[in-house]
Amino acid sequence: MSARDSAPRRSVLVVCRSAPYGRSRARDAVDVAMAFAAFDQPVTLLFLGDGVLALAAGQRPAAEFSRSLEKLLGTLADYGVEELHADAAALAARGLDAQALALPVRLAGPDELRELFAAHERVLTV
Amino acid sequence: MIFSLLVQESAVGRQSSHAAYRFARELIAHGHTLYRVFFFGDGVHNSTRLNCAPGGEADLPALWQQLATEHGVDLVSCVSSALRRGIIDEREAVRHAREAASLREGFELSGLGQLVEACIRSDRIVDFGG
Amino acid sequence: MTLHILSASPFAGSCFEECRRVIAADDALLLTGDGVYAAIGGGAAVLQELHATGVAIVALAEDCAARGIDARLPEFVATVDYGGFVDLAVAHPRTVSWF
Repeated sequence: MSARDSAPRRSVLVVCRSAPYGRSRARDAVDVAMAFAAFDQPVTLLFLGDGVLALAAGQRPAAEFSRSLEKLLGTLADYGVEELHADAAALAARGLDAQALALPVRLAGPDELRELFAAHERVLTV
Repeated sequence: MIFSLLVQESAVGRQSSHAAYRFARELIAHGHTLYRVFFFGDGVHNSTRLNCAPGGEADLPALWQQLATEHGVDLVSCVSSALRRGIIDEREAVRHAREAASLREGFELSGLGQLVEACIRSDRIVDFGG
Repeated sequence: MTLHILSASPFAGSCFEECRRVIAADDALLLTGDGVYAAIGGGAAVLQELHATGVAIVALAEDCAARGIDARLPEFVATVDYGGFVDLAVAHPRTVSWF
């Protein structure tokens, strides 16, 4: 049994509330979620409010100045971040339907959002 | 109880890291343990040794350093946040051929794994963003 | 049981509204920094609704005083110092920060 097998695990909800590119917070949130997954902690990444804009497909940032967040999102599963949720009302308010998203996420209504918060031992908003 | 704190904003121009410091002092005064303060994003500016706080303004980097000296608190600045912002220790200064190091004594640069470990080890983690 | 910490003005963005959507009846809401502005104007009515469902509404006293609103707090808003802030964090297994 490796040290990692016996390490304690605490469930963490990482919350992203910021749109991408204008600030680096959306990218930072993804990095934090990946770090928890790398240490074998059960992690859920939740996109709330403007954070849902990070999920929009077709992102084409100017290469020299910005790295694509969409590309990074595409690697989440490889890094063990599989629980992805998004605020359904925030998506609708911003005119984004499931087809407009870069990757599949679970859409959360108000009850599911409350359950998500209650179900995790730690909540970190980035 | 064991606490850790996440600090995400600079001490200059924002209140949240000042609130984090006040909270840190108070939890220790209440007999709790402060295990680690993890500085992330713009929060790494709390770990500079080059700031010049005018008289009458709180010198938060110095206050954090004093806190660590008095109570053995682990002060960690996220290395990837720090390098981008010019907060570098001696090793990184040499590695990147910079003229000087800027990381204040009492702080160390490390990865997000330290935040993960703090979350595992601590009873409470309080997030001072914004 | 969750301690929600609101530190941004409710008039500046959507975090108060988002917090309100996920807060549960046995949670507490602590207003700090610019978050204390939620206790005045239109925010007070929202807080009263939350209070009526069982949410404890608390504000950091010195942040209210700094902003000159301490005399205008609704009676259901309790005030604490940083010691009280620590006690709230101890009493709630989970904290969520809204900013």
